[in-house]
Amino acid sequence: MGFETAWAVFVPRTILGFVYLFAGIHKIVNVGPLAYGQALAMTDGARFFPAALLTGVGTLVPFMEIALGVLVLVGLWTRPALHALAVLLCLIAAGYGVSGLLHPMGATAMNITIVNTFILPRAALIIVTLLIPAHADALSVDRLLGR
Amino acid sequence: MTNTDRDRAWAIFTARTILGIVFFIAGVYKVFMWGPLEHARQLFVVPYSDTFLPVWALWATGAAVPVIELITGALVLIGLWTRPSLFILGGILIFVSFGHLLVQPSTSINPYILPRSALLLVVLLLPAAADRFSLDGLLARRAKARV
Repeated sequence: MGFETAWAVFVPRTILGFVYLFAGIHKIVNVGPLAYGQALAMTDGARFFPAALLTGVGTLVPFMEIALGVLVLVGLWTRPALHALAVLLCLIAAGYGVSGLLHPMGATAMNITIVNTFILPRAALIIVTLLIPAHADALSVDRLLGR
Repeated sequence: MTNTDRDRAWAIFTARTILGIVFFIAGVYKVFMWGPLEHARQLFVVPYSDTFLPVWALWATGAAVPVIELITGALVLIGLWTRPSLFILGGILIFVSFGHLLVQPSTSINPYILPRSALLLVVLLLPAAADRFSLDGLLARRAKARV
């Protein structure tokens, strides 16, 4: 596979990396990790999970986003990082699904703005990057290290 | 399983799970919270009362769509009978496109129908055998092990 394919995987991977890196940075800088966790504990999630658990998870989320974002951005342990992001995104989609049932918006219950501007673009980037074979990702640290 | 197979399985899992969540949540909302008949009345019978479509067909399809979305959404979500469910959901998307475009501008299908169609196509265009993180995949592997 040539440079075109390497570039084809580099573009979505880099954009995806930036998306998660800056999402994490903004949460830390603008909200604060603990405040973000506390805000999560005040959502509908508190009906199903203990507040302490939600606060803990919410506090860790920004750091997790930064770590996974950096890994995807530089192309190190890319595939495991993408798998983790896929699980994270599916869990978030399920969360918004439950939230949609508690506070229905429109004919399909789920907030269509969240689905179309948050979940699906990220899903598209993850799916496209996963579907291009890992060995084609020449512009990555993984390749540099001979993985 | 090669790394490429695994990545492809993750890509399908991501698309299938989000697609399943979106349809299943819509089905739960329409069947259990809204009610199929009320759904039919509000979204099918009233808006299309001035068209050539027969009223009995509007009631029938308007009441059936939520139930179909609920069942096929759940099946797609867990990956059981995935292909038949995708065929049915594809039919629903075509049917709903017709309905939208009959009385609304061409852009009306952008927020709901096109994103769902994109996810559906990702799953449908990839080989069924690659969908390893599904009940279909699990059952296929068990059947293969027995032979």
